Amino acid sequence: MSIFKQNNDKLNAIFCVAGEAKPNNGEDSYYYSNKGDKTIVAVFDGCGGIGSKRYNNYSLKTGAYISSRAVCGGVKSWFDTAPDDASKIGDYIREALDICEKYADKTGRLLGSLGKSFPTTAAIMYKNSDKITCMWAGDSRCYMLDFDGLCQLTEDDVDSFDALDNITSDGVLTNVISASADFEIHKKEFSVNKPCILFAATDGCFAYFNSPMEFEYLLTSSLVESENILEWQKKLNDTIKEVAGDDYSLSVCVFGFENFLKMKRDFKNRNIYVKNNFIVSDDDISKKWDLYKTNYSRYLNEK
Amino acid sequence: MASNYKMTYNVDLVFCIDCTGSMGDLIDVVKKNALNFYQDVTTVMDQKNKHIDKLRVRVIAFRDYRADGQDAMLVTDFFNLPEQASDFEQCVNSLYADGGGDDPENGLEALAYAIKSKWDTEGMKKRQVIVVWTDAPTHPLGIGKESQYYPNGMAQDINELSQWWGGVQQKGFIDNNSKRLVLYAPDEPFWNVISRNWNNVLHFPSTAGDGLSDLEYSQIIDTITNTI
Repeated sequence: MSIFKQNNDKLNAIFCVAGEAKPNNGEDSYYYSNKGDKTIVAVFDGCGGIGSKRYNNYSLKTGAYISSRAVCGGVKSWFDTAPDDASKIGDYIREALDICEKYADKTGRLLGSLGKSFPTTAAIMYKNSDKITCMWAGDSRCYMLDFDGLCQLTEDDVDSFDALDNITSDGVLTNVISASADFEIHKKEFSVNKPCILFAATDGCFAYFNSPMEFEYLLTSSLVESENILEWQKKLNDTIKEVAGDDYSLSVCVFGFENFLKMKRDFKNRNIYVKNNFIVSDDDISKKWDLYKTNYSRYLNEK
Repeated sequence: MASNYKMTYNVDLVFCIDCTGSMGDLIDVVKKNALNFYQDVTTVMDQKNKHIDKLRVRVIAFRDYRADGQDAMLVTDFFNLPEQASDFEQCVNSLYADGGGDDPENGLEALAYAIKSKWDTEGMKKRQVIVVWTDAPTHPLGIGKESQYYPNGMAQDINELSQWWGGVQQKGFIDNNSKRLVLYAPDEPFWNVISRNWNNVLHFPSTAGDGLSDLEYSQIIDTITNTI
């Protein structure tokens, strides 16, 4: 659903942009849905490094490819049956992984810590009225964009806590969903009663920009240059596709705006501000990041 | 604005090759695999839009200090590729299988040399990969110490060598994000100890990789080239 519905309190639009680095072999998956006051956007990034084993009885697809889709199915079942009990989501995910394992051929001979069964990340945002619940594992992220700017809501499960470092250093995931090892689905709740845009994004969306500032600039530039929600969706896809060297999935939902034209006008100031203050040459990124990150991280320290 | 849309990597590869007599039937295949390995890594990284800015390869040929004395360990500097490709090929092609004495070899000492390589620390994204080909278990560290050719400052035991490798909590001599260890080695001590306990390891239990299928090989290359 990507038609903009005028609605001052509730959902205006919901959609996803996604692409594959290698046709028919993309290891990302996504989900979005809305039922009354309940809305979900979610993305999943099958881990192609530790999940590169190919399964004969899954048409030679990798564990990463299977896992992102299976876990996506588990999350869909959770949303269909028990969305107000976030503690249950892990059960639905584990059940999906158990099915993957049950039907997988056991022919692999490679040992060692670098091989995991059906590994994937997840970033899930569930909104019920004013309450937003983020649930995640790995380095896929939940974001919120409002007139104060972009903010990351979830902490990456990698060695470093710094969002810029995590883009540049190719860090190792410290927590990832898989059938062969313990994992944790982190949860965080927020209350938001102002217009906002919520995103769940795999790293293909943001990790190929030089900085989080550039990612925000892309989001708002594509918005202010569009005449309607469908055009914004297309511009978002075109820009990320041009930049990403990987599969990418961005699930988006828009809440509380009067109409699209007013929304884009209201983001214009922020777009210009980011351009003038934070879009800089490579040498100055680190200095500008230090100034930008307090606002960008304003929800990160909330428990 | 956004980057050049290609990630650039500095890649260092260290090949540890068992050159004892028992490798006689396999050494030519291992040499061929070693020569192909860096090309396969390059090809796959390129397919994933990961451009290799700097590629270096180093060779460590190992035997047994007790049986082979000065021929127990041949260690080269890094070759810069593609500039020194012919020197690298000449080095690999000059390896031959001989000596070794009893069944276990000084494979852990070879691994220690590899871990302490002068890794490229420049560039934001790196891969530091050690590949071991062997058909034998290893001695515990220190066997052959009486030889005048045994290296000074060697790790005392497997626990110290594990610290050299490092982990999430403790830094070793090799970058935790960049490192990968690929073992084409039997499921025997101490290779199986490493396989079970060290991070970032892929182990194909075998005699020097014999019997590796194409699917398994592509899994290994994908694991090295992708983020983990």
